[in-house]
Amino acid sequence: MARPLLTDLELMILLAVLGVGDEAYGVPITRHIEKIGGRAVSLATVYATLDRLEERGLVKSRVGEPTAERGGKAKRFFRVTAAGLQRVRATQQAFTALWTNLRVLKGGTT
Amino acid sequence: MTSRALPRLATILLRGFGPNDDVLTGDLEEEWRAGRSAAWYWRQVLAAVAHHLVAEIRAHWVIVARGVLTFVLVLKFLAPVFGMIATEADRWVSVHVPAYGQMPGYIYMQLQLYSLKGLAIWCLTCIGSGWIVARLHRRHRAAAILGCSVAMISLVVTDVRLQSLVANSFTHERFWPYLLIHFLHYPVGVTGLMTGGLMEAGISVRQPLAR
Repeated sequence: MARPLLTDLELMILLAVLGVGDEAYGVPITRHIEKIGGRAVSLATVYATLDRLEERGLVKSRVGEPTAERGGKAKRFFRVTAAGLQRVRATQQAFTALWTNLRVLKGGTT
Repeated sequence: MTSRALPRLATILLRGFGPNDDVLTGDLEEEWRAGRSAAWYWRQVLAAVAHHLVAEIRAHWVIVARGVLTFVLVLKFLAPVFGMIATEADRWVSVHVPAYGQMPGYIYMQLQLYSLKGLAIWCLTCIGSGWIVARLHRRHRAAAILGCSVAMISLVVTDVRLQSLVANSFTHERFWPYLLIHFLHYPVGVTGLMTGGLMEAGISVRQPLAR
């Protein structure tokens, strides 16, 4: 059976984690999605999605040191695993295949 | 970076009914200090509470259902008790209801003072019920209280009196105050429930916000 594809939000979050890089925690991930993806998401939604992705082995997280500007609270950093990267590629390939040769998107008619 | 204080009520709501997650509260605090608006902070808190509620209901739906059942039973017991107290209080406090015509049009309500008294009793009953439900479900207090709140709000659909008041209000403006008072029972009840839950958890508005 084929592996399920990522939802649009899961894909956006994984791409944001990849885009932000080593410093990928809640705040920059959310800002990246807002700025580059043009979609407003809440931090709670981002964490709930990341928890789900971590359960499926698509991301891994580690808790950093507490910092003063966050009221002494720690950050949770995320990175995409090899399985996560593979799923992103599979989703991209599926969408690209669906995209290809659609006349309506090239200015033609249905 | 600014040193403005976090929105107090939203932070209390997050502490009482949101996930017990320092990472999330740290992110919220960081963004707030970076200049995010109070509206943004409120949206984030409400989203966090909603996510927490859904996760808790999925994971512990039996406990949430037990919380709702407890609420219904406690309410059945407390409502007559507070009703008796109110009846007793009437003997000591005489309420003057102004005659029709002494008050302007739609503001007038024949028994408005009695209605407000009923609303106050309802609020106290819900605070008491919320406290008891939270006490009996300490480990999943937030889910139990929020479950009761959702159950109460969903009663709007089956509230025949409310439906009749809404229908009558379209044609007669004199029904507006009755509709308002009747509808207010829902937000007041939910606020009472949550206040009772927060009281049981020992979270008050006077507490410092740092954990």
